[in-house]
Amino acid sequence: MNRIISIHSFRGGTGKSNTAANISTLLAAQGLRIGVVDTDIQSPGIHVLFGLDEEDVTHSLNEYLYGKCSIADCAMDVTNRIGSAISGKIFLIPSSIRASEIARVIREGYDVGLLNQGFNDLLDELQLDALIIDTHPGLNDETLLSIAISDALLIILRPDSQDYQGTSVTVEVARKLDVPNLFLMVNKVPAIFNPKDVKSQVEQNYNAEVVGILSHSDEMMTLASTGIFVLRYPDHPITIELRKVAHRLMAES
Amino acid sequence: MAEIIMLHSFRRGVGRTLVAANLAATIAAQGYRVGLVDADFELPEIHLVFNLDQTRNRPTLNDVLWKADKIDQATTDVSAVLPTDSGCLFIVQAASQPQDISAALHAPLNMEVFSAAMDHLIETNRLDYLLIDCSAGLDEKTMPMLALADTLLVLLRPDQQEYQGTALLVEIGSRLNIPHVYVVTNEVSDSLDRASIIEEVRRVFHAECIAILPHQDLPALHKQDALMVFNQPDNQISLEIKKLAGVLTQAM
Repeated sequence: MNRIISIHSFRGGTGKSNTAANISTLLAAQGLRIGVVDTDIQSPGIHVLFGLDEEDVTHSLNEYLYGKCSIADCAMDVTNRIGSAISGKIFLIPSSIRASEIARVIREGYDVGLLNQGFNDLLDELQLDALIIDTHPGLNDETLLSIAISDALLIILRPDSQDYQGTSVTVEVARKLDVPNLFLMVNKVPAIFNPKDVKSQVEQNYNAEVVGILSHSDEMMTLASTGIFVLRYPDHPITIELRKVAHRLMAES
Repeated sequence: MAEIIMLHSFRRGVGRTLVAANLAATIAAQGYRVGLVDADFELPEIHLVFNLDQTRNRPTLNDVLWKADKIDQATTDVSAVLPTDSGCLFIVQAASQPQDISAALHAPLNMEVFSAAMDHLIETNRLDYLLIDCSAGLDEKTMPMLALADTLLVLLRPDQQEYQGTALLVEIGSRLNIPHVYVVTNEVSDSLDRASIIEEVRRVFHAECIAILPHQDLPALHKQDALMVFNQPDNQISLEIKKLAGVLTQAM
């Protein structure tokens, strides 16, 4: 089973955080214990999907990185915040939304090795079945480390030529870092595109498996990150596709 | 003295670069002398819109900041893209090769060097307006740059994940005493009405929302039609950007 799964995209706005939150929820709904780490230190967002405000967060990943607390101290059980009862557990390790803490970690830097140690501690101490890492777009230190230690990497792209170029860079990096399982997901596909064509084109382009093709959805846009899509729309085509993606991510290739 | 307009967003992928390029081109087409600087070292894309070559040995803003090259050598006159004879548009691109991006990640910004380069750019080209496209997020290079701004345009999509961080940015802008801090919303669904967005921006950010761009399948930045204000002048996004340009040039 893949224990550490990173979710990444080279460019922003591809739907990384929404995908991470929804896949985590789908896995937890199967009874699994799932950890979600927000390593998007300079623009954190996924906590919003789990209904957290600044005041709700007592310890953030930032504090762990300065050595102020253990990483398990930062883990928040958000299972009861997603609006539906599920059989598993979701723990979120949020990044700080306080300007001073974001500025400090960016200014002073930190020992990237601590992240690696922290991911392993989380898996052990919280007895997790899997850890989902929501990364910052591009290729910064947190992202490279997350990719390097992942059992599986899901790269999200939209079907446009700029995303295609950026994704080439990420795929190349992932191959150099020997990520055992490399998957692609195409998101926000305009309705006029044929999903099968998109899939074969992308697979051919990167020589990697495409595990999901998600159409652009007005429902997703209108939900505007106020909740978890797969719970709000359990029978929607996007939910069905995400369920396939979640299943595939957990399986060995 | 030129007015400095910075474009910023808390998260990536909100359409900042497309707006920056179209806004700069619109203001220039009104007859002004305009500079557009790509300061998004994490993912520079301005050069794509203007088809600027990055493979030749042409200095970039990175070389100006970290290799002591002159800003003049990193400046390209792209006024030929303007449909009018009056007005000028100058671009300073950032380096986009993966090795340059990773080098820039760890290179500290020397504000004196940056600020002197911007002054020089303004004086040499007698600019009326200088637009700077910044990196997203609370980035260590972007924060000090904000102090130079006369106007800060913060872009966001109407998505809850962006609200807290955007509120921080707007607050930082106010604390730095930037004279004008405005919000621009992008990717707005047809189902939302303008009045409620303006009201929500005022309530959440205590700032004025001066443009509302509808959700559309946008052109790729390196395609010819990326300068929408000229190629699709009647498109809703083009119309909003033209209005935005009007507000900015009148306010100053």
